[in-house]
Amino acid sequence: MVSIRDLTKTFFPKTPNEVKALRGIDLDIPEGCFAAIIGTNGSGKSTLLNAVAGTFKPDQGNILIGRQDITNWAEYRRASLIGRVFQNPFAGTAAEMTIAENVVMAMRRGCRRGLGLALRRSVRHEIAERISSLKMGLEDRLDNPIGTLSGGQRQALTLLMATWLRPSLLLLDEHTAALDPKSAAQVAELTLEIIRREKLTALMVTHSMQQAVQLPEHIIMMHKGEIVRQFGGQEKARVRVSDLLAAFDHVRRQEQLDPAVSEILGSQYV
Amino acid sequence: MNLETQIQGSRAVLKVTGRLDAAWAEHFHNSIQEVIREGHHHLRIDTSRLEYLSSAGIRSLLRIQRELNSVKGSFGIIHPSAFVAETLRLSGLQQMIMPESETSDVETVQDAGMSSLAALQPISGIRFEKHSLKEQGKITVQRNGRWKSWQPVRKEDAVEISFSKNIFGLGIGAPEHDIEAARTRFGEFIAVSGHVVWLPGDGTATPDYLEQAELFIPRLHVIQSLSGEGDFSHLLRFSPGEKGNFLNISDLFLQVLQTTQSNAAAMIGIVEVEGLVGSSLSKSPGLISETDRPGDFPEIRNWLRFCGERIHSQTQALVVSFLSRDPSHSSIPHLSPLPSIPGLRVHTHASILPYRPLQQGILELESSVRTVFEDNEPIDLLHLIEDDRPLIGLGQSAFIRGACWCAPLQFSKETSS
Repeated sequence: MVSIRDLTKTFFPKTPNEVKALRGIDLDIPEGCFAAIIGTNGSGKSTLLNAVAGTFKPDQGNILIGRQDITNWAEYRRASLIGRVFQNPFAGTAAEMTIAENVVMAMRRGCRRGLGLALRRSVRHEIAERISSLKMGLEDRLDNPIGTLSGGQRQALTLLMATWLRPSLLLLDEHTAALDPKSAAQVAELTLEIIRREKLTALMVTHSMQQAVQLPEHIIMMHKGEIVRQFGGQEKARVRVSDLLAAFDHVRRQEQLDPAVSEILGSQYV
Repeated sequence: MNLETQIQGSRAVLKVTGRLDAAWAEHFHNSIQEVIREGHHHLRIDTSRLEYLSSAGIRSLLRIQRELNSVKGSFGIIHPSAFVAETLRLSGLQQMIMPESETSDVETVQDAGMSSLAALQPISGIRFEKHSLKEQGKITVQRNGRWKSWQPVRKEDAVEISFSKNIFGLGIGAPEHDIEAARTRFGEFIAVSGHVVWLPGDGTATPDYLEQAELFIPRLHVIQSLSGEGDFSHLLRFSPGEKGNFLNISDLFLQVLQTTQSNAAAMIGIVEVEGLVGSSLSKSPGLISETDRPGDFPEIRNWLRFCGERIHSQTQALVVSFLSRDPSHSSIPHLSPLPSIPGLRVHTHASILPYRPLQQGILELESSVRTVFEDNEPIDLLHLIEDDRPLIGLGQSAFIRGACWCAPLQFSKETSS
């Protein structure tokens, strides 16, 4: 269970560049729920994800994972609870290190990493077995530097590493956006498979309406730092891409309801 | 594919050159739709230069034939090449091919009922036809529901109404089994000839509809409504004098008042939309609490949806209007001032549907409404308003052509008191 209460963040306050990125966000993601955040550019969706990840400290509000209030935890400390996959396939892994070495790092996520964990035969075997579930043939390339993999392979591996130790929360930041369409579809399918199998609580930011309709169980729509609409339960089951586009259109039109229009409606809408 | 249109008397002959296959079928259908919209209901397709006709092309020919049959128009293939004739024959559609000597009875169809036409004061660029339907025809209007705008809805504000075929109306309501069930779903509705379209105020923004069938009569719990019953005195039809012309709704209202020779009238219209300006509830008024101020800015944004631009061009609207410039009606609720015509008070709802052509000449209301809804689902529902903001205002709703049944109205004693 993730609970976000009154989360507020303003960048460059009291300057001409002031941006109210988050305006009092209240959000509950139940245990085992896969939720997606969609929104226009600058809507605050990535800022919300980064606030949960601990990239910056919010001005106001609280973030709870389970019963633990992590609002004041540093980013590295949150790593014990949170797994992350970034948009850039080259982020989240060390290019010069081998696949096996990267995975060993992931196996110690949130713990102090000393020299204690060597690549024992049994560990290699475990790594090979789990990597084979990706069905990309990477289990035979454990000693290859991760930098030699394609974007799709690397992102699939990052996803596996982020969930190697079952995280309390998985954060996906447009993790298929930088991939070619075929790789994006493969990684999206893998995401769903892992989240379902491990019964993970997950929060995904996406620009793809199709992905928002197909993958998660819950959709959160953001606009100008606020949650403007949520689709969950039965409503989510019947939502189509056109419904999401219509909801965005509705938000855009609501902004045109200015005080002058309000006056017109006051006299003409009986 | 190329399409050339020639008007020959009351017929339009369309000469098609090239291929009519899956790649061109939609374009072909849309082009023909344009010709039908312009009022040509007797079409001949000259296929002498048609090189190829696939099943997708045949399907679009059948669609057009069906649409024209529904408005008592006519459709046929002329000058078929041997290939086209053979394809149609093998498909069992040879009856689509018209003989060279074909003379249609189109003129008689088109002129049916035109004897009652009367001249109207012209509006630039628009042709009007006025048909008398029933002398002394009159609509009695009843006010239903006691909800005062933006106050919390009390149980006693709602009343249940059956919208059988002889009653039409508009307002705010929901077809639930009781008021408490309806509370979360109150939204605008329109009722005509046993068809009720309503926009649930539950945030779905998808209009729902009910149709009278066998023993089923649509019933609604309404909190604010005007309903009319009686006979329409006139049918007013209008169409553009030339392409690009349209009729503003305020001018239509003036024509209705002139036609019915009254200061207050009721109108049901089936119109082709040039653009609509309106608003609708995005949240049910049944959810208003004592502390809410839905009428105030910015809270109003949570309760009302505003179109933001002129919308639903090229669609068809089923419109219900009650209008009055009778000073004695100024205290009647649910009528509000129309900025462009001082003294006129109106209430108009429009249900928007995909376009369907209408038969020419005199139309019967019930069968026309049935045609509009046949295999057709409402897209939206709006309470029409006029946006008279200087410079940036969206103006008023406007129509390209349409048929409007209208009559003088009188309010029931209870409503007037």
